[in-house]
Amino acid sequence: MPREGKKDVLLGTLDLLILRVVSSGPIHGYAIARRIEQISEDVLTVQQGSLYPALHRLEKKAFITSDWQTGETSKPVKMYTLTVDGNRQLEEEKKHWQDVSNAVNLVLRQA
Amino acid sequence: MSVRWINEFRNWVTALFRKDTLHDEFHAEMEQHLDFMIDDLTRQGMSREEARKEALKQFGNVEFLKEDCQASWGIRIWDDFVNDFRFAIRQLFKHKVHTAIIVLTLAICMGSNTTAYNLVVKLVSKPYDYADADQVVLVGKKWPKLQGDSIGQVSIPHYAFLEENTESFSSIGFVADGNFFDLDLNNSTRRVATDKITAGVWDVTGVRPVAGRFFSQEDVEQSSGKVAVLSEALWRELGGEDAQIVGEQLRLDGESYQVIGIAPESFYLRYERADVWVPRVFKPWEFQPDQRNNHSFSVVAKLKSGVSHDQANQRLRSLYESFLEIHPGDRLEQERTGATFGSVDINVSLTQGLEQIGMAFRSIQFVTLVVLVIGCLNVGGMILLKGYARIQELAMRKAMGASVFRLARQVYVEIVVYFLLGGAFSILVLKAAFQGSQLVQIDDIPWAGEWAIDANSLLVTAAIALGAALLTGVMPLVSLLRRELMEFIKSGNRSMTGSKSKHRLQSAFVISQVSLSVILLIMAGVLIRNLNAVLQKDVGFDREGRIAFEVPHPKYRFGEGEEDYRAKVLTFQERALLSICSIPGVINASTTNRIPIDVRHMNHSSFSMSHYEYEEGEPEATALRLVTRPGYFDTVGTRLILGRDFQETDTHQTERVVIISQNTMERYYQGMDPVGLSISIWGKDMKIVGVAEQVQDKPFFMEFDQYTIYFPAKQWHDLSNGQTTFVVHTQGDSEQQLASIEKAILEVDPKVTIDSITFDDVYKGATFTQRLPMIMTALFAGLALLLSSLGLYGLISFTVTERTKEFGIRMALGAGRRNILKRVMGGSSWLIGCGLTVGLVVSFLVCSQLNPVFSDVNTTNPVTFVGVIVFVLAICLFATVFPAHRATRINITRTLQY
Amino acid sequence: MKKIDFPQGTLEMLTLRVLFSGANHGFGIAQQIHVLSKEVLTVEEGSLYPALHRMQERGWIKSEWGRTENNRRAKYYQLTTIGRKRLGTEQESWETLATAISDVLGSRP
Repeated sequence: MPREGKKDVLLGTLDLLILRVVSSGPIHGYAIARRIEQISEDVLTVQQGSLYPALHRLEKKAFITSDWQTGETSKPVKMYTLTVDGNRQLEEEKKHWQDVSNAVNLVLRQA
Repeated sequence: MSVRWINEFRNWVTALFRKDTLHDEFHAEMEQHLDFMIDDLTRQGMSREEARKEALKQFGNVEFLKEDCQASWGIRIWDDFVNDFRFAIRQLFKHKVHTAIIVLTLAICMGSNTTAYNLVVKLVSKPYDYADADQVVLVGKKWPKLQGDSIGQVSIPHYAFLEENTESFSSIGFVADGNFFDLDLNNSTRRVATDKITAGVWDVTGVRPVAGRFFSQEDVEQSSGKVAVLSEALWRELGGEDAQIVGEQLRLDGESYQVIGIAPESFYLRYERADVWVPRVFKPWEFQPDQRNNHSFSVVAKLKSGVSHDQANQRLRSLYESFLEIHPGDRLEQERTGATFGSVDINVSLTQGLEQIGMAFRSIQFVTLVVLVIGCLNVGGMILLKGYARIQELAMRKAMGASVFRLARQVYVEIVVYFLLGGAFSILVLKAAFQGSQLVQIDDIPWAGEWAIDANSLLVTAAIALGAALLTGVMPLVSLLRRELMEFIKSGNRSMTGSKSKHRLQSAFVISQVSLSVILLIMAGVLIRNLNAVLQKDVGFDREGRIAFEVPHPKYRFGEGEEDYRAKVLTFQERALLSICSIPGVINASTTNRIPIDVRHMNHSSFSMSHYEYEEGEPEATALRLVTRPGYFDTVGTRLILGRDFQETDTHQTERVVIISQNTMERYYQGMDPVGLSISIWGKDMKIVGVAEQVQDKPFFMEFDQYTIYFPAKQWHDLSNGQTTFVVHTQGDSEQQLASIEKAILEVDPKVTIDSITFDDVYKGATFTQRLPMIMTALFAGLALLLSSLGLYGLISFTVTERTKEFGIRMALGAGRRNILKRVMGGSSWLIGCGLTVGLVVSFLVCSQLNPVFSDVNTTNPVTFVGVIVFVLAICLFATVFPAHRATRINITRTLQY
Repeated sequence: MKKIDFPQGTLEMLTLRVLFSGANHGFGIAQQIHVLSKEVLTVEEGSLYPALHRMQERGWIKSEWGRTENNRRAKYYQLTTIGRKRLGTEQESWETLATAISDVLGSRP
C-alpha cells in the first residue's frame, strides 16, 4: 500500500537524485535526504519511507555500495559510495531525465 | 551489461543467506537515522525528549519500512510464496466441492492416461532386448506379390546358402523353434519348450549369460551337439545357483545333455518363450535340394556396421538370383509370386504378424486421448471461471500497485497445489487400475506381464494437463492487462450479468463438454460393437464341455524306426481313447494335432488341383494341416457338409484320403462336388472324401489364410509334430472330468506328460484382442462420461453460486421455486442442446467415413446414436437438477447479505 | 524503450493540458501526449485510467458517453472549472519540481 504523503512527489526520480548526491563522495542515508532538500530549497522532500527502500534497491543493483565506518562520533555509521556501474547509470538517467522533461515541456507548449 | 546482472544476482543470493545480518544492520541504520533527526531537532531548540517524540512521529512505521526495504532486495519472494501457498490452501477448503471436482478430474485423467499409455506402449512396442536390437534382423523368404514385405520362414538349404554368402551380416544364426523335450526330473517328467539353434544366434543377439556361457561352434562339435542352455526361469525352478546346475547333465528326451549356461529372463527368440536352447545339428540329407520346400525355420542375423537395412535387402535380392541359378526349378514360383530373400528389423517382424493387435490397441489410445482432452477442458474451464470471478479482486490489487507478476504468481501457486493433490490421488487411481488389469488374462503375449507404473508416462500426462491448466489460468490475467480496469472494479456486484467474454466461455465450455462426450460415446459404441461382432461369429466348433489333452510321444520312447513308431503311436492312441471313453460322462473322444483357434502347431502345405487354373499372379493354394481320427468332427461339433468322416478302414495300406474345409470347396470347387475328386499334395494324389463346415482355425488376431485340409491319423501320424492332442466332449464338472481323463491316459502309459486345456480357455486366449480393447474402451468411455458430468456439474453449480444474490432478490420479489428452477435449467438446456447437435453431426460424419474400416458393423446404425443421446441427456439432467434444486433452497436473508 | 517514471502528478498535469485544448477520450489523450512529445512519452492504460479516475473524484474533470468518428461508444472527458484552475497550479508545480531536480543534478559537488 503506498504511503506517500503529499510531499513525496519524486517517485522514480528519487533514484536518480540519490545517485547524483552519492556521486559527490561517501555519505550516509540521513545526509543524503538532507542534502537533496537543501539544494532544492525544500522543494523536494525525502521521507525515510522512500529513502531507505530506494537505497536498498540501488545497493542490490550494485550501483552503490555500503560500508560501516566510524565517524566523528564513536558510533559506526553506514556510508554509501557510488560504484562504476552506478556512475554509468547516473549518466544514463541524467540524459533520460533531460529527454523526459523536454518532452513534457513540448506537450505543455503545444497542447 | 551482463556483468551488472551477475553482480545483481550475486547480491540477491547473498541477501538471501544474510537475512539475519541484514535485519540487524537495518535496525542499526534506522537507529542512526533517528539519532541524526534528533540531533537536528535539538539543534533547532527542542529538548532531547521532545525531539525524540517528534522524530518517532515523523519516522512512521518501522515495520512497513523494513518490508519495503526487504522488498527492494527481492528476498520477500520466499515469504510471498509461503503466503500464496497458505492462501491457496485456504481457498481449497473454502470451496470444497470445486476443489474435489478439480482434483478428482485430474486424478482420473492422469491415472487413466498413464494406465492406457502403459498398456499400449508395452504391448505394441519394442519387445526384444538384444544388444543393438536395431541392427538385428530376421532374414527369410518373402513373396511380395502375395504377402507384400512380410518375411516368411526358410528351409535348411536356403539357410546353408545364406550362411555361405553373408556379405551384409557380421553374424547369422538358425532357429528351429516350437520343439518340446521331456526333461527327466528325479520323480517326474517335465515338458520344456526348446529352441534348436546354431551357435551364431548368440552372436547375433549379443545376449550375456546369467551364469556359465553359451555354446560356440566348437562346443557343438566337441559334444556332438549335446549341450544345453537353460532359461533363467527354468534354472530357478531347478534350484538356481544353489543347485549348481551349470556343468551338470540333464536328460532331455532320454539323451544326456550338459548344461553349460543360463540365459537371462528377458531373452527369447520367437513368440513362445523357450526354456531350453540346444544346438541344431544338421544331417547331410537335410541339405538336399528336395528339402528346400520345407519352409519351417527362421534365420536371424546382425547387420555389419555401416550396412543399412535397404542395402542388406538389396544384396539379399541378388543373392536369391544366385540361388535360382543353382535351383532353376524355383523360377516359376518367382515369376508367379516374386519370391526372393529379404530381411526386416527384428522388432518390426514381431508385430508384422500381429497387426490386428496394433490396431486394436491404437483404438484404446484414441479413447484415452479423448479422456485427457475432456479432463483438461474440465480443469481448464473451472480454473478459468474461478479466475474471472476473482478478477475484480485482482483488478483492485493491480490498481493499488501490485505487479501482474505478483498476481500471476498467486494464481499459479493455486493451480500447482491442485495439481499436487490431483497427482497424489492419481497414484491411487493407478494402483487400482493396475490391480484391475490383472484380472484380464493376457498371458499370450510374452512381454505383457512386465508392465508396471511407468513414471515417464505419468509425467508426460501430468505435464500436458498442467500445461493446459496454466494456459487457461493465464487468460483472466491477460484480460486484466488489456481491459479498462474501471470496468472490472465498477462491475462489482453486478456479476449476474458478468462480462461477455465470461459468458462466451461458459457457453463454449458446456457445448464442448457435451459434444465431446457424445462423440466419445458414439465412437466407443461403434468400436465395441465392431469388436463384439467378431466374437459373435460362428467359429464352426463347440466349446462347451470340450477339453483338449496334448500328449507328446517322443521317438526315444516310442521307437526310432518308422514302422515301429507308427505302430506304437497308433496303438497308444487307440488304447487311450478306449480308456477315456469308459469314463462316465464322456460323450465323445477323438484325436487331432492341433486345437482349433489355437496359436500352436500351425503347419502348412501347398496343394494343387488338376482342374483348377491359376490366374496371373495368383498365389498357390496353401492349407493348414489337421490330422484327425474318426469321430473328431462329432467330438468338436463341426458339421460335415458333404461326404463322410474318416473311418477305421482308412489305414496306411489303403488309398490316401482327405477332407477339405468348406471355404476350400467354395474357392476352388465352385459349382462342383469335390467329393470323389483328387487333390495333389507333396506330389501324391489323394481322394477327397468329405467337406467340413468352416472353422475359425486361427486366432482372430492372426492373418487367416483360410484353407484347411484334414488328414487321417492312421495315414499320416508323423505329421503331428510328435504329439497327439486328445479332444474329449464331456458332461459334468469339467475339473473333475479333466482329472479323470488325465488319469485314464496315464493308466495306458504312466511315463507320458499331459498338457490339458479347455476349449473355453483356448478361446479366451485367442480372443483377447477383442475382449481387452472392449473392456478398456468401455472403461474409459465411462470415465470420460464421469469427467464430463463432473465438469458440467461444477460449472452449473458455480454459476448458481454466483447468481445467488440475484435469485435471492427474485425470490424475495415473489418468484416461485419453479421459476428459479426454470431459469437455471433453461439456460443450460439451450447450451446442452447445442452440444448434442454438434456432437451428433461430427460423429455422423466421422462414422460414415469409418464404414469401410469397421467392416463388420454398420457404423451409422441409428441405434447407437439414439442410445447415446438418451444417455447423455440423462447425465446432463442430473448435472443440472442438483444445482438448480440448490438454487431454490437459498435462504433469502443470507443471500442479500452477500 | 525504458519505462519513464514521471514525478507524481505529471501525468495529471499533462492530461489537464491536453483536455484544455478540447474534450477527448482516454485513448485520444494518450495519443496526444505521445504525438506531441515526439513519441518520447508513452502513457500506459495502467497509469492513465487510474489518473483519470482520481481527477474525476477530485472534480477536475467530468465524463460523458459519446461516439467516436468510427461511431463507437467512448467515454469523453472534459475539464471542469476547477480543473481549468488546477491546470495552472499543476503547471507551476511542475516547473518548480523540474527546476529543483535539475539543480540537484547539475549541482557542483
